[in-house]
Amino acid sequence: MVAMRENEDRSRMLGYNPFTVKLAALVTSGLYAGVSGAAYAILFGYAGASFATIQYSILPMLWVLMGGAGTTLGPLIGTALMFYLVDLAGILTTATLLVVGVALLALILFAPKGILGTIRERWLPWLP
Amino acid sequence: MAAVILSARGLTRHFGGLRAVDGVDFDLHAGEIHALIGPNGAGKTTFVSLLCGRLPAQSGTITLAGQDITHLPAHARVARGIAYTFQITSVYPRLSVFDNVALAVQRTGARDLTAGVTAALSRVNLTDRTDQLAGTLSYGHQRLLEVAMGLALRPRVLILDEPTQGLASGEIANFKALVRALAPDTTVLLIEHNMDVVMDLAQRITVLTFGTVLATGTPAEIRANPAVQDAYLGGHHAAT
Repeated sequence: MVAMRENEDRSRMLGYNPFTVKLAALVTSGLYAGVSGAAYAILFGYAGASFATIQYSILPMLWVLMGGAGTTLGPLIGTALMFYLVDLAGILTTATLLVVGVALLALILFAPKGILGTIRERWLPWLP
Repeated sequence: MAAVILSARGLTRHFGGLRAVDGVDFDLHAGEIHALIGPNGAGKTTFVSLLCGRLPAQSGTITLAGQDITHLPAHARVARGIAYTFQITSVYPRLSVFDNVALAVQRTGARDLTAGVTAALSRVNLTDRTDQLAGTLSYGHQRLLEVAMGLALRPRVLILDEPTQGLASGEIANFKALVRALAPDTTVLLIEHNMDVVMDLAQRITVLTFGTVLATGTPAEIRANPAVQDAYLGGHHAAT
């Protein structure tokens, strides 16, 4: 999957089938989402269309990008950071989405590869 | 002469009004080093892209060891023994040299990944750069890395698209020795603009121009062919 992400054309010419690998990635990520949804439904007795809103679909992806796409710990760090940042901002203002917007602008300007992605690229190449 | 391992009949690929490859018949004999030459825009890269499956053919047939592979996707052709190195270097820049070659070795089903990688890298003299990120290698070394990836697949037919581009003269000498050592176990199809390399390595040469085969023969036959000289030098060489 890493090879396919890094260079699809090269991977194809090494004998890897892009369709199979992408399908496996889609199925695996769908499996995680499905298990999460099932666990939520069992725990809270509810699963509804509101799970398709920005809060549950777009924001998690942004937290992953914040931590560093393609890193193992990045999503965890990005989620923790943004969760507490938004939580703390809620004490000061009701416009918490403003904090999200500013964080994303800073991310794009100063660390387009995310927090861990940038650290790995500049200082710690061994980071997972 | 050895059996034909890779064959094309009436192979055609047009891009709009441009006839990049136009009804080409071509035979590659097992164990030979065969060069494909021609002026810029002659259709060389398009032709080998059709052979290895990067581009679909609009008409014509391709057979590998007697089996029709015309409609097989590229990855399936690689599995059957066709390896291709790109004209514009294509490696995994953010992966180490070791990982680049390991991805190729893995496809062969080899159990000892390290041994396979070391063997391929030692053939192109890159063993001292195993842990380096591929993207930080010089252009010449990236080309050698790509050749190592091709070798690691242990192909029956290795297609090299302008492999000496960007190599220093010393590296070209090593490269020539490497390609010579591949034959006859591996059949090599070489696209090359460096005529010294072509004349030195190739047992047979095919000349393409405007998407068609102008001539096929030994280096001596091609060198003496007036039509080939015209295609390369322009004008009417035979008349002068």
